[in-house]
Amino acid sequence: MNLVRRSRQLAAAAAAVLALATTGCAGDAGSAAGESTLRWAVALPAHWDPVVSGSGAQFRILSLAYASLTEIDEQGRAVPSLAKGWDYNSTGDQVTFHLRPNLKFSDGEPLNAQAVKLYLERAKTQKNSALFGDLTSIKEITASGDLDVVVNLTQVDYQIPLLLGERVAQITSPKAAQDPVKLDQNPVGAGPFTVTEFVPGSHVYLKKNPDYWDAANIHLDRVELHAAPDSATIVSSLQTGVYDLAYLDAAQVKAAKAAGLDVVLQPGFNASNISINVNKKPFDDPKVVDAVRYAVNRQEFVDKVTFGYGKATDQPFPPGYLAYDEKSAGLFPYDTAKAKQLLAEAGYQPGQIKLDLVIPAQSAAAEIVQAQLAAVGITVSIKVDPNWSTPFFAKDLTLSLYGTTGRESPVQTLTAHFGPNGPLNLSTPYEPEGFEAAVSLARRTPLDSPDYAANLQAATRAGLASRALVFTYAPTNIFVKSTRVSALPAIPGQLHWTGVTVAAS
Amino acid sequence: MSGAGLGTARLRRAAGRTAAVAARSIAIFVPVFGVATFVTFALRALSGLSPAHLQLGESATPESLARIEHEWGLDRPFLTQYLDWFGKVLSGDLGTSWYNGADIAQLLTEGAVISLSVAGLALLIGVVFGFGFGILAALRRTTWVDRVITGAMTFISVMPSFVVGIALVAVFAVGLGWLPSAGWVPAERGFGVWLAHITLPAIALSFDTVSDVARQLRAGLVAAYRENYVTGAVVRGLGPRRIFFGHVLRNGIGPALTVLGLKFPNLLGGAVVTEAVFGMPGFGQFAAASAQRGDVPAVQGVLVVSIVLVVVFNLLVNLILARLTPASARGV
Repeated sequence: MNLVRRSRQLAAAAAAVLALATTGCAGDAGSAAGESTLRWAVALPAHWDPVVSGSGAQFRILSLAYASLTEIDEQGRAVPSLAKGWDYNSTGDQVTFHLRPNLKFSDGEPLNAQAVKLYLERAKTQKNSALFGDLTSIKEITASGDLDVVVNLTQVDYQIPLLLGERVAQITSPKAAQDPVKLDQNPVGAGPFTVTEFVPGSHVYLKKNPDYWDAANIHLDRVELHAAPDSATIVSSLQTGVYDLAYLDAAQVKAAKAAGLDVVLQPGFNASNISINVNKKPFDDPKVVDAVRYAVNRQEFVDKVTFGYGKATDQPFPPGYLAYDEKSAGLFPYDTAKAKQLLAEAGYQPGQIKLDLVIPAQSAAAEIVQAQLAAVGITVSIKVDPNWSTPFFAKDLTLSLYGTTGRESPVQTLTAHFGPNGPLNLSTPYEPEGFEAAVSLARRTPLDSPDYAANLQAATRAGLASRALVFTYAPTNIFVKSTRVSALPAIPGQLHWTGVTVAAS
Repeated sequence: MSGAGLGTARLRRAAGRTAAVAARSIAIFVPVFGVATFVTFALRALSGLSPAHLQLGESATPESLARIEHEWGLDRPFLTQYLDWFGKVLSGDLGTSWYNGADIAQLLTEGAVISLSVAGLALLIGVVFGFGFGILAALRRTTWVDRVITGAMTFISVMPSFVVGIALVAVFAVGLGWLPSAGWVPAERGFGVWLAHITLPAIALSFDTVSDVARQLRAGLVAAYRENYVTGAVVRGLGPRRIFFGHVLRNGIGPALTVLGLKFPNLLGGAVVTEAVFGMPGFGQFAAASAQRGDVPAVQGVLVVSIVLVVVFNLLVNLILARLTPASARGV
């Protein structure tokens, strides 16, 4: 019949369209021949002004476009970057950074002592700065000549070279920073790459910056950032060569290995905690806090949230880190009987305590907390609040969860969690007794002093007396990369591009 | 009256009908748009969402919150904010995102190009295969061809596009290596590459449309074949082809076209899932991400564009329907 033939023709036409599509995919439209391009599928940062960008994970991406005053090495020690060295004065309350000569930003502006001074002052004063809280040790910055940045401190603080690394001192061009709103979407730095194309939420293309101080060791011609697909298809998109690098869900590790991809377990400072407000009932009773401490089974988080790619921790760092205090490990072992007994002593019947656990997004960790507290007789309702950070940082919540990517300076990590103004201390101005003195001693200990580790661990020990935080597990930073990409430097918490190569496909 | 005069009168009547359909659609659009935007605005006020938590993160304090809310004009009366926003929308200004400060109109345009590419191709696949299978099933009604098509359509209609997408990637991208598994390339970089990138997502997205259109069309056509005017036409000795095009298709196509009109918003909505699977920074992804972040101006922008797209598409379908089945224009 005619009509059948007609519909067959339609089907044939559709098949032709599909065939046309398949012939089109052979070519790689991305880059010119002979260039080595790294295609990274990633959640794109909202902010490209390092003063505004808040989270540790975003600084890994911003470090493509910006160089920092110092860097850290595999051991987490401060090493030269834009500053080729630094000297403390004899009293330890002033540090002078010596810049490399002839540095310049990608807009041609000179990267001199004045530019660094202007950056640090902007980070301290800009209205929407996410960094001002990190710079309270810094009293005043002056430029001495073109190359020396003199930083005067409010206290003796040998952590400054660690502090002024990737997270806090990615230096921006002073000319571009005159319009901070524009800079936030048009990064102008002196990093290994410069941005050539920027479409918010979609992609960012960068090319190698020949003026980067270590350009000789950057072997990538181009980096393309693409908005990452759903975690369920990350592995197949690396497998088919659409991308070369991506973050990986622990749940996908097996699939990635089976697909012949490289799974990179990058070291980090990550630690997750249960945040408690001791200024609110029922946590104003230390026995209730102790009951929560005994009720937590850390291994369950490791098994179910990190699929085994993490570590149980009872401190704001993973075990094995310099500041991790072995003496404090296992102070509150998992013991539900003890937890129930403490609640009974505090005068609570099982089920009598009812609490809201307020979190920013649905998470498996929250459900584990709910189940573990239910096992000792504390009823927890999970409340997902997209506006969570407002009550959290205003310290209005009673119970919440937080996970930090950590800071290069261990002292800074400690004060953020346990200090009286610490952003991660839900119980401010509460501060455990002896913490201030211990952290001050750690701060006053030079990084190369033989006492440094011991003083740091003593500060951790003092901080852990805080009833405001129960640490649970330390997730690992997991990346997946194609075998064309060479090994990534194992810098904790960061991604460095020095020496990284991508073989031609 | 001469033949030419009769033709002009008919043309004029048709034009009048088209204008009436367009006018009615616009009359519906204006209040819908007003109410919908007002409700989203009211939701923001009710939710208490604020740009401050997106911008400040760990450094949020009550003072800085108040300062940022003032900067965005959120401490002004509700109606003032709404009318101000509405006036700007009419001039094409959708404001800036709370999340990253970027221009929303620009972000939406970039996302819409991607989504319209995928949804357009999905619609094309839906129309071609939906009509093909529907007509074939109707012509071979009650035979094994009909049963196979009907069964297959039922099967694919219940397949979620998320599952279909992953299966397509596994077969055509990973297994056969024919098509890219993810990403987006604009058409300026080459028609073939562009088409290659949108083919798998479009197929994943089209399943629903194919099956719904095919089933509606089959039902419509089979019903039309049972009508007296078809029996009459057969008795009068008209050929099957003339009966099909003159009587059956024209009278039976209505439900399928209406379904198609409803499908377009579904295609845009379904794009949220397919765009996530295929890593395409389209309209759907943008809408979902903005909603999750509480980026109110962006969500409002999405709403404005969605309403416009849906209304324009429905208008097109109404006009086609009015042309094919004049009764629909009279609202019968």
